Amino acid sequence: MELLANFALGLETAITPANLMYCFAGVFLGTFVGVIPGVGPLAAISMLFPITFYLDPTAALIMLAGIYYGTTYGGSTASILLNIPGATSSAVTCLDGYPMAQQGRAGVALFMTTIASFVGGSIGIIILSLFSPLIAEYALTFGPAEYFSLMMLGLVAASTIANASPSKGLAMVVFGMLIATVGTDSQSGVGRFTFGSMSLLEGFGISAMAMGLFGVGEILSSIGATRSAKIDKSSAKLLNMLPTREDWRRSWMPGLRGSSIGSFFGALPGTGPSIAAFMAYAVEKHMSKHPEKFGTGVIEGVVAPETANNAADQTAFIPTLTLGIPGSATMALMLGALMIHGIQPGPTLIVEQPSLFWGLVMSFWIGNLLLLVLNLPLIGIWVRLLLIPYHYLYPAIIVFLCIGSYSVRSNPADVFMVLGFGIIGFAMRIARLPAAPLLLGFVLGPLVEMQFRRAMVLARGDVISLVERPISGTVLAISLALLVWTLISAVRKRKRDRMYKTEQTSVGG
Amino acid sequence: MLDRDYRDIFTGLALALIGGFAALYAAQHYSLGTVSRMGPAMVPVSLGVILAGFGLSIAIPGFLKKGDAIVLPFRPFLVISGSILAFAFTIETLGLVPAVFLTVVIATFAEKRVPLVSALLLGASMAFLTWAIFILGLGLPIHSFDWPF
Repeated sequence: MELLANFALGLETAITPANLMYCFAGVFLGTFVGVIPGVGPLAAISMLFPITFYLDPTAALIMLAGIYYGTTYGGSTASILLNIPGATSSAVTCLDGYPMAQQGRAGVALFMTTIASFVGGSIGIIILSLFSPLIAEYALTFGPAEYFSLMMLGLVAASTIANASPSKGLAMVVFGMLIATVGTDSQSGVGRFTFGSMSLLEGFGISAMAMGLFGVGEILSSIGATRSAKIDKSSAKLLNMLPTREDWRRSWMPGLRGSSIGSFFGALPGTGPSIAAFMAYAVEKHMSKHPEKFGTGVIEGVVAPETANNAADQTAFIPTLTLGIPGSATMALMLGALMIHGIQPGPTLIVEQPSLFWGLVMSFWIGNLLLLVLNLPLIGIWVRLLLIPYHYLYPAIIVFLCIGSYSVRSNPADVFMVLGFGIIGFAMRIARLPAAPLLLGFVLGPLVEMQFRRAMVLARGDVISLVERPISGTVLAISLALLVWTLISAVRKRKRDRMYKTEQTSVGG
Repeated sequence: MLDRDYRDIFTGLALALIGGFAALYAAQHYSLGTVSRMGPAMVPVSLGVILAGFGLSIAIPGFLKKGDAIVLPFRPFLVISGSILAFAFTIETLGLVPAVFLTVVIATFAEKRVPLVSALLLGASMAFLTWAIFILGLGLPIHSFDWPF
């Protein structure tokens, strides 16, 4: 069995004491950050990104990935106890998790989310291990035209599916790509938009951008948002945590369905864990014999979204690692981390860097196992963490952002860069422009440009050739269909809103 | 409620200006090339034009619909910017410990309810914590204390 040999190789890499330690540090920090409402995985990863520059690529990725799926574990804690999602992917868990807590079953809900997260994560890892080599093998036949089209699909999907305003999302993707053109043009060597500044020749750093947009940005929007944590600590005690036989019986089918839904949506560009969790909840409610009980604290309503978002976390790595095309801003940061270490993700990654790829996959298992073991006894600590007022937390986060950005090159100019992107992030928040598509455009921009220019050289400038090649043409057609569909539904929604508003005003006088 | 959505109008116009400027600047300063052999200006010019188009598509509907009032949270923004600037200016002149202390104490002013004593205590403990993590633990090449005089 080739797969078993790969697992063995991966396990060998993942189980070295250093990698185990980074995996542990990652999942611990991830859970920590996930529990705190308002700080999502993007802020967490961008904050700790510079520290991983010192590690070898495998260790860096293991740690960043641990932070990523750790936040999803932790995010449910605040959802259940406070009715505030710690991470956006846990928003649906509030619906039935919080009512369970009010009925004194917070412990059961927390216990089941941990188990559900582990099951979902494990199934996602199995899908990742089975499909990645197949996709990579197939992708070896891809030329620049196919890569260009796939990246276009990823950008269109990510900017239109998740956002209320598709034109704002698309504008931010283009803006991100434009920011990425600052610096030396890789093909002609001309310095673009440098305005004579030497330091701009290297372009902007992805870590400065992420820390400014997500770190500084999230702090600015969370300050002043009052949070009062009133938690009945006894409900989260270990003794009150054990689910009944009835809980188990009702949970296993929703868990399996949630895992499949999550695995599917995780691998698609633009969707990811939040949409996966939402879909799993909707499907479960639809299939239930008692849909009216959803929202009153049923265990299925907690298990389905929690398995889904963790499965999605794992399968999101499929397009990132096999094609080098991230489907979300978080995956774009992972891609950025790889590229900073000089590794270009793509179909050859699995063959050329087997220990990195399989080591990462096996570290996911270990990380999920650590989270399972950690989370059950540590829930008490996470609950106490929720009682720390935000005005003691955010100054600490600011300091970590500053030290993180400074430590990369020991250059105070990088701290100014973070502030600069923080100001852009602040302006974008006021303008209600989404930041995630900007980061995705920034990371994919140079790759899109490179593949497009290559494709045009090969086709002697014949743009039609992009559509004539079967795979590339199909993918472009899907992107176009998605674009048209979102624009139509946005116009429809606007019309509906206007009709609703006129009705409201006519009723109100 | 405002009679026009000024948020979208300003946002769209700003994006259109950025896109238009980028396209013009690139077209004037770098070579465009041909489609089969693209010069460094081709992609920035296209992106600039597309961004300007999206900007207008955001701004124009803004004139036709109602919008809500825009609240600018200036206090947190100015204080947080100030605390980051303080770090950037003091990390190499004063060293890590004073820089962290200053950054934390300034940052606490973004929310009104932190008493000065708690702010000073938080600053001191963060200074110790970061020193322990980054200099003692990770061994980063940063000075703990520097005296400019």
